Amino acid sequence: MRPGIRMIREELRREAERVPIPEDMWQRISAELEQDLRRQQRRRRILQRLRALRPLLALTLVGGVLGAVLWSWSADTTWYVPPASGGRDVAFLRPPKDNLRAGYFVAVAGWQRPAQKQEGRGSPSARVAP
Amino acid sequence: MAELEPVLSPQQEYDLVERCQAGDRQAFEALFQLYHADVFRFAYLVVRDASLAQDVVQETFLKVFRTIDRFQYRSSLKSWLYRVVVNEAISLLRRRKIREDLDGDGRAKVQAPAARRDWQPEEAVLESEERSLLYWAIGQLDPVHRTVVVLKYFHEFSDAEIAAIVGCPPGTVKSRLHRARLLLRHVMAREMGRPDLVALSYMQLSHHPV
Repeated sequence: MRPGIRMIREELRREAERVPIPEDMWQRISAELEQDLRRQQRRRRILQRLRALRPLLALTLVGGVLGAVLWSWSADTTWYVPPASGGRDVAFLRPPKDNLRAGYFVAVAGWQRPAQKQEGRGSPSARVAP
Repeated sequence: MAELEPVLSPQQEYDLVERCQAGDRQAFEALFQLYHADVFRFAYLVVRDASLAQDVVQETFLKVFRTIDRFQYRSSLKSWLYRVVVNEAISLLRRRKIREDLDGDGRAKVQAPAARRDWQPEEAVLESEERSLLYWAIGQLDPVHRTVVVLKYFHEFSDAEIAAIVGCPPGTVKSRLHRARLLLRHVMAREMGRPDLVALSYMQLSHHPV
């Protein structure tokens, strides 16, 4: 009645011997490995091509960033003191009026554009020179 | 089981791993030929289905070959291989259980061997029934306990080796083995209609932590 260790061991062995070991396992694994190899080779080729294009990509990226900065900077940017500052000595760079350029400006300078309402109520006299 | 174990000296094992890490296909095949029978038997005894065991073996060796470049000899190659197969087998069983639960098949429990209740007092018949009931009862253990039982009693790993394979302290291995034996006794007593032994094993189980 009590399942002794010997009995467990014998039973497991008997059951394991009953089942034949499949013979085609290596073929299946080998085919998968072959696919793996082909996938790796393809990845390596793509990486090599990308590596060859790296100087061009870097140049494009730097040129693009520089272009965006210069383009947004060339717009009408001015310094101003927001009315809500309560006379404190703070000044912000006003983004360009042109929305498209303002978008680039914000993206490049990481600067939050003040709310339109505030800007509307703000006095142009608050402008200060940069 | 001991006669089935491949005999590889540490140097041979090191050379084989080196060749595998260099991407040598013949070394992969040599590694597979050395261990696939043991790994298949282990997987079969844990998942209890030959075709599922075949899937486990395939996934295990693919994972081993794909990640062998990260093998750093913190354990033996065999321990590492068994760690992978244990994880594969347990995760397959968990996935299958989730699928069965979702399909509603989880309610249909596997029945114990049919002839269990009308056993005859003859010793031979009794032993044969006990054996088939024991194998069925091992199948009723949860995968974690079953894994430890197979590693210990079929593959004859030491507690320390099992601890390294399943990733727990040796004390936990001992505790799991003890609990697995209690559970087997409980299941067998219940199936053979021995309420006295059921009560006893239940009492022992309730005093034994998981």
